[in-house]
Amino acid sequence: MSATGMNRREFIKKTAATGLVLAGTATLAGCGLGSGGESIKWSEEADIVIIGSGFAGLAAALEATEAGAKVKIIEKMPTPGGNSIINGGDMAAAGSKMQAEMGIEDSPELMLEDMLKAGLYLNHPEKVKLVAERSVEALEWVMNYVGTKFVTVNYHGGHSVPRTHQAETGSGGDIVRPMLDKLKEKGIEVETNRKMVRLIQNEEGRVIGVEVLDKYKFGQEDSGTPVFIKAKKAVILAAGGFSQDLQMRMIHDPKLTDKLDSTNHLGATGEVLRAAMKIGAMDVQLDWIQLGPWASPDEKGFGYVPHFCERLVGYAPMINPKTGKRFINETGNRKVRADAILEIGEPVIHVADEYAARKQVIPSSFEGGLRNGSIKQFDTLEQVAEHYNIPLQPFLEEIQRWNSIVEKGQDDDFGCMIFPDAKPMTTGPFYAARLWPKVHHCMGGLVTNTQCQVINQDFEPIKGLYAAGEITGGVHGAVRLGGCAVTDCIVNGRIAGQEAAKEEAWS
Amino acid sequence: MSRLSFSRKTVLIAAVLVVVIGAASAAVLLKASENPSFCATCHVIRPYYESWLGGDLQVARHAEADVKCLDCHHQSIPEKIHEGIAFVTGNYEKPLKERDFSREQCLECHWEDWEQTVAATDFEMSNPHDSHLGEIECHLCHKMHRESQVYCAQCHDFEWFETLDKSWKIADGI
Ligand SMILES: Cc1cc2nc3c(=O)[nH]c(=O)nc-3n(C[C@H](O)[C@H](O)[C@H](O)COP(=O)(O)OP(=O)(O)OC[C@H]3O[C@@H](n4cnc5c(N)ncnc54)[C@H](O)[C@@H]3O)c2cc1C
Ligand code: HEC
Ligand code: HEC
Ligand code: HEC
Ligand code: HEC
Repeated sequence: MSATGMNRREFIKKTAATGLVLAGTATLAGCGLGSGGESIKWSEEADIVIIGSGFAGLAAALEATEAGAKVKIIEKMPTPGGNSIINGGDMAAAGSKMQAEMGIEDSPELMLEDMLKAGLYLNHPEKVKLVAERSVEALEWVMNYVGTKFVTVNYHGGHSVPRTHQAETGSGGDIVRPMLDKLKEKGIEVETNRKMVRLIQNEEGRVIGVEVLDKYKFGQEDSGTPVFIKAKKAVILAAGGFSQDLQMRMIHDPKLTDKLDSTNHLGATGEVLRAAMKIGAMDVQLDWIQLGPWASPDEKGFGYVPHFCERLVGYAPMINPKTGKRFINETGNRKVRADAILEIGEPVIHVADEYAARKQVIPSSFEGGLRNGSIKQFDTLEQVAEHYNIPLQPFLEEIQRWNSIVEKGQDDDFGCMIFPDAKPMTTGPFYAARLWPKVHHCMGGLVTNTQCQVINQDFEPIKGLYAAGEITGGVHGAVRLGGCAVTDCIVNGRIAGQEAAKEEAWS
Repeated sequence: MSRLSFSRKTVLIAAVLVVVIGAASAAVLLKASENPSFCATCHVIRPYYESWLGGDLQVARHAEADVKCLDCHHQSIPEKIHEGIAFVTGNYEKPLKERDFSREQCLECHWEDWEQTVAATDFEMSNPHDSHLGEIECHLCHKMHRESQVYCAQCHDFEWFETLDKSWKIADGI
């Protein structure tokens, strides 16, 4: 090959582009060790190759293994878990036993309605319906099969009722770690530092394997050695969203520049989604990228303020520091809130009194925020106004107004949901945090059917290719509600694993 | 990729060399196990020897506890052979790239004191040895011949970062 000036790698790329069969044969004729030992041959194989080790990938792996398939889980980062292992451990489910015990009335129909409404009815109806209907089943699977403990049910903006079940320590790790342990018991370990770079098809377009860079080091894009892994039944894409992919997110939403931080892990980039599109996969709503309106510019990553803010909506007002007035329904969904803050153009202030803050905010988050300075304590409202440069009189009047709204239990100004145990804010100390959105979630992604098969540009399933989790689109439409991502990943990850295991092996 | 594009001829020569050098390099490493100063005779390895001899890096702490090169680097024979070829063909990166070192390799010696180790780093509300990330590789934080780095720092600013000694640096990246 070196004689022709085309090395093995280029040769592969060219054949892939023309849609030829490139693998399936152990080595290609005329290409021995000549080009530096890099010959096209499957060096490993499994029935199902799963890309990504978050909720979706691990749920798929567990189901596929239970169905008797041999799986491999490929992960580019040095640690497993992606966004899932850093997530807040809140899982939405409608009509659970825990809700009933807490006197919360809920139903899959109501959850569906909430998701559709927040999603501006851009949700693919059959996909979102499936998630709502199977939410309790998914929760019970995580509790009983995986073994995660859930401790309470929280409220998130945009839901009609408290619906998100909080895992024991408030971390997605409470779900991911036992999943990893369970897989280990079955002899499966996540293969870290391996980055998938390409899907491989045969002449009929069936996906038959992947090219990965072995010993890849995140951040060193020239690292790693190409390795070909045969997928006898299917490849499942569970590589998550692309919130950290500056170039890609700015193509779909040019407002999301490097001026905006992200809550995601650093590996949340879009190359796997694009690899699927390169072989003809259909995408949907890639420009619906969610900003977290509860994030703080005064701490890095996700931080503590989201817990302060989200627990205090419906108990404490958000203030535009330019006017001293409220500007939005605090219990509104993420989209309306983030847009409103961006429109103001500078961080807004969420302010609460001692009663609400102590009652609502988890002590560890509260203390963490106070320690790193993202949450501040003040003796009086005057001090709050002074510190944040808020015009004093309008601000004090607005707090009066808020107090009367709370007493009435109804907000005629913005339609904020006022919780029954909310009280007027009168006595200090007061606590406040600045809010400035961070890039948080990608609603859009690959189009999949209810079996999680990836759909191509001719509206047909791509044979041998499945996807689940944040890499897919359609479930959430325009806006994902809090807690619904875990449910989506578990419901669809499991389906992808079960369905892929049913495929007939091609070799 | 250029590193790998030998001509056929080079590959043949290399194949012959494997037999010779493989054995030779194994012998070299064996000698090094008895006497670390032997390693210093080869210029790429000198900095590693020096970091072991003394200074702020973690490997020097191990030297103090009488842990020698091959107590940690008792790699498998194929790897040694590979290094042999690389060395003879001049086909190694300069400076050497950071090698992976598995959790299991560290725990060969640290398994027994693991509970104490976890307890020793139970900083206020967060513990690098017991976190939501679960069981992660030691080398993501602890480096032996270079500055250690807290992996958690890409997402967190814990106060205890400030209290770490000179073998550590705090950086945002991985
Ligand atoms: C800080 C934070 C808190 C959150 N809290 C909640 C919450 O409380 N409730 C809720 O419902 N949702 C929450 N979310 C959203 C939710 O966590 C994610 O949508 C979900 O974890 C996505 O899971 P996943 O399995 O699709 O992808 P991930 O968990 O992100 O996993 C994808 C994996 O694929 C890997 N990968 C990517 N590209 C490649 C490649 N080329 N080769 C190999 N591997 C690759 C990634 O490194 C990653 O490990 C939160 C998100 C964040 C960031
Ligand atoms: C890729 C980002 C990331 C990395 C790396 C990471 N964390 Fe976290 N961690 C988070 C996020 C995000 C949360 C908050 C999740 C939530 O509450 O929704 C969190 C929460 C926590 C919490 C509870 C809240 C707090 O801050 O006190 C602790 C403790 C913690 N992490 C410790 C660690 C330790 C120790 C490490 C290193 C071993 C680590 N984390 C590595 C992202 C990360
Ligand atoms: C306590 C265990 C330990 C001891 C003792 C030790 N090393 Fe290492 N060595 C490591 C680890 C871990 C790495 C991986 C990189 C790192 O941590 O800096 C490594 C990496 C290396 C590398 C690969 C290049 C690199 O930077 O990763 C060389 C070469 C090396 N060591 C040489 C030596 C020599 C020579 C000695 C003795 C003088 C020695 N080591 C002693 C643990 C050890
Ligand atoms: C051959 C045995 C051996 C191996 C392998 C080994 N260690 Fe050690 N390590 C020791 C001994 C012995 C000490 C000193 C123990 C003491 O002081 O109680 C030590 C001490 C330490 C200390 C504390 C040093 C200090 O600052 O006081 C750290 C941290 C440590 N090791 C980390 C590691 C890591 C990480 C690895 C894997 C890269 C590793 N060790 C591999 C034997 C080993
Ligand atoms: C997330 C980062 C991180 C990881 C991963 C990590 N450590 Fe540590 N380790 C630390 C920090 C920080 C300290 C405290 C160092 C200090 O006090 O100087 C420490 C201290 C230690 C100590 C000394 C404890 C003592 O008694 O004072 C040992 C031994 C040790 N680590 C071994 C390990 C081993 C073995 C592994 C892998 C199984 C590991 N560590 C993984 C961050 C880490």
